[in-house]
Amino acid sequence: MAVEITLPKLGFDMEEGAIAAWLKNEGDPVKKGEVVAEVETDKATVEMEAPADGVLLKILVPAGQVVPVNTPVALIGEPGETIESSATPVPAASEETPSVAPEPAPAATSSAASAEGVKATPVARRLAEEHGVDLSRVQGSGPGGRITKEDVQAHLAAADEPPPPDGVKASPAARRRARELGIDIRQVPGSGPEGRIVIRDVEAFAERVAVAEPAPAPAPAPAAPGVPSVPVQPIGAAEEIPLTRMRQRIAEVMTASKAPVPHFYVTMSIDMDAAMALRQQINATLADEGIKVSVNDMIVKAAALALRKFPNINASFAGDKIIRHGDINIGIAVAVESGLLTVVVRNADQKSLSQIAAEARAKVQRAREGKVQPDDIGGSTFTVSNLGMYGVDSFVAVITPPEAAILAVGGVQKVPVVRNDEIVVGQVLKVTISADHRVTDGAEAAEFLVEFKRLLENPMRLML
Amino acid sequence: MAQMTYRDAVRRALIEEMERDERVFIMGEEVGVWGGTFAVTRGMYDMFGEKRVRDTPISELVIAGAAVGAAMNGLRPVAEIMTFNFALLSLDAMINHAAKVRYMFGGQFECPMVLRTTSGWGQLSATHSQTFENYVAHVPGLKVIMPGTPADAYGLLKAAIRDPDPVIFIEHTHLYRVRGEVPDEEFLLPIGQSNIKREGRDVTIVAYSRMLHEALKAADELAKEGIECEVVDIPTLRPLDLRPVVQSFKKTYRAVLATEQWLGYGVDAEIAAQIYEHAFDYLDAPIKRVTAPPVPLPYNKHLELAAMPDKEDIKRAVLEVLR
Repeated sequence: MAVEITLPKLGFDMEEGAIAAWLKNEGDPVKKGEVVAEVETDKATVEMEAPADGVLLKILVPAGQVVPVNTPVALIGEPGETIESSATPVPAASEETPSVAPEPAPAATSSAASAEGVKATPVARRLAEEHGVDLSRVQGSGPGGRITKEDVQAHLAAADEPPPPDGVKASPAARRRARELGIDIRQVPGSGPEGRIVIRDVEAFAERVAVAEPAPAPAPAPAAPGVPSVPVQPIGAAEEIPLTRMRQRIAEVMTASKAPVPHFYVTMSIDMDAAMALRQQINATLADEGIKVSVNDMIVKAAALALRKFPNINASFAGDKIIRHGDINIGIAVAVESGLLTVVVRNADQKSLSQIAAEARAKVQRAREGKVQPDDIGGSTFTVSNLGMYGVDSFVAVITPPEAAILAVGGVQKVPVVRNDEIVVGQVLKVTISADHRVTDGAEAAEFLVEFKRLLENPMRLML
Repeated sequence: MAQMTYRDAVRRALIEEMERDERVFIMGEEVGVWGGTFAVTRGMYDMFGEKRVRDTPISELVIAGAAVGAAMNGLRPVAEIMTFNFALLSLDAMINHAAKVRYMFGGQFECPMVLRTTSGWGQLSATHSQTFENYVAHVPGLKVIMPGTPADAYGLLKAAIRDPDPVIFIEHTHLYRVRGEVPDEEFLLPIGQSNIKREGRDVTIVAYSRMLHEALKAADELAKEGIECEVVDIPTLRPLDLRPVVQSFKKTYRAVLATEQWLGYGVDAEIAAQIYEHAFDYLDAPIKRVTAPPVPLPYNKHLELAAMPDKEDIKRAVLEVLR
């Protein structure tokens, strides 16, 4: 009996993903736990292991095809085992059907060549080439899903259609249900033909929103991430860069943050002399063990300890209530090749500096290499974003919902400071907290920073 | 309860009504001595005599016109036109006379007649394989019935014969041998009532006459794949009762309309328009029509089968609206 490999859910909000690459071919022997493929999510590329010993009987989902979580992607079985014909069909995921922005005219893309492996009649192929249609985006209606001339013509006709008035293709039933549920239809990914939002999409979206603990606030509807706020005209010899999944996801999350979440900002300078001295001491002591504590590790620890005193900032706005989280999980924003990722140090308030240092270093490294493990990401309750390594003095960050705050950290700068009425060279760090005004207020954020400052200026407290 | 063919159900209704009311009589081509082209009236000439089972000349306008006159003068004629292809010749009597009598005489006259005819095909070629229920369902003043089951054929024909207005009753030649349960005791069915024949949650299929059976077969097969179709029969096309259809649609959000008509200006288009009017906010996918292609039906057996819609076309349509 063949064993299915299904697309793993790598993070609580992952709905779909693609096999980035198959590392095994059909017919190859595999061992349980052996890496058979790499999975690309909107956050990272993660290794996927074989769930059983045997032979990779069949690859059901080719590399690059986006499918929903839990879709069977391959079968493992005995050598020579025949596969039941009832192998689950692969549902289409929503990726190739932008639900928001009108599809660009097909001629604008140069992807006609990506039609390899797509079943199409010769006439359909010729027509597609003439019009620059990417056949992998055309739904086939012929025998065995073969794309016919009519399918290509219908695709061309659909591409010529003006977009609906609000830029969203949605069925009347979906619109009605969205109204009833108070959902902004522009936020809902469509799974119907040509990306149409159908009622099941709205209901599934509502369910997901309800499950993802902090319900989004009944705040003014944010602009859909796919829609530029003003029409964009290319200026000069412009180049068009298609959005990667990560870029798309960042756009969605940031738009979902900045518009509905009323941000406010509080900045504070911190004297880092003592902290820098302690860090040097620690690193000198632990050099033999290969442990190196960074300034950021101290910041993570200080933030976690400060959050213990200010549970209202370790919180989420949930519509009719504020949820104060039980765990203090500090996210660390990491710049990666195509965007950014937040790795998480869970229960950072309970971990020692050296533990935080080791854990953060491993996770950041995996993130940069695109090899994060499911546990590396997701579930953070407060984020630290550090641009100190770029010599940035200070900056302001956008909150990652549903968190209530984010701390933007600059670099430790040598500046003249007044100490005992004398100007001396001091080491100063500037941090700015962005906080959700629905959850907290300026005074509380300032008190939080005072505590944070007190911890870093008396760094022995980080060791207690 | 007896299993009975559709043919015998029609025949039983005719016999019972002729026994009940001596004003009821039959006329048409070869209905008497020969027993009817489709053997529906076989033996009735001997039972009721030539006065009440009358053979007529081969003139459809004469048959319908005589029926209108007889009905206006107090009889209850049941005129038979062999197929709807020939009933085209009777449309003047039906539309300009039968349908207008009550209106134009201010209710002083009525026209309680039934025009029985058939729909059907089967290597009969282009001019003998047509059906025009939409032509007559379009006309105010007419009632149009197209039953799909033996019980409906029985109960609705009896109601049609007793109805005070002209009724066009269209049987389907492919259904005459279909068996179904018909209660032994006498009953009438209300004209203008649609019925849910199978319950389901995923798609509403609306059908009548032969396509009702294709729809039920399609629903059975789709159920094995986990797709539950609700099948609504509309045995009366005028007056059209779409309440069950709209109710069902509000549950499933998707509909497939199956008829043997050519695509365009058909009963299906009327149903679709009414769904749009009454259930717009429940539309989750475009309504899909399953019809014959708009071509004269080929004589060639394979081409004919390819042209006429069947359960496979319905299944494809269901999968399409569920995409």
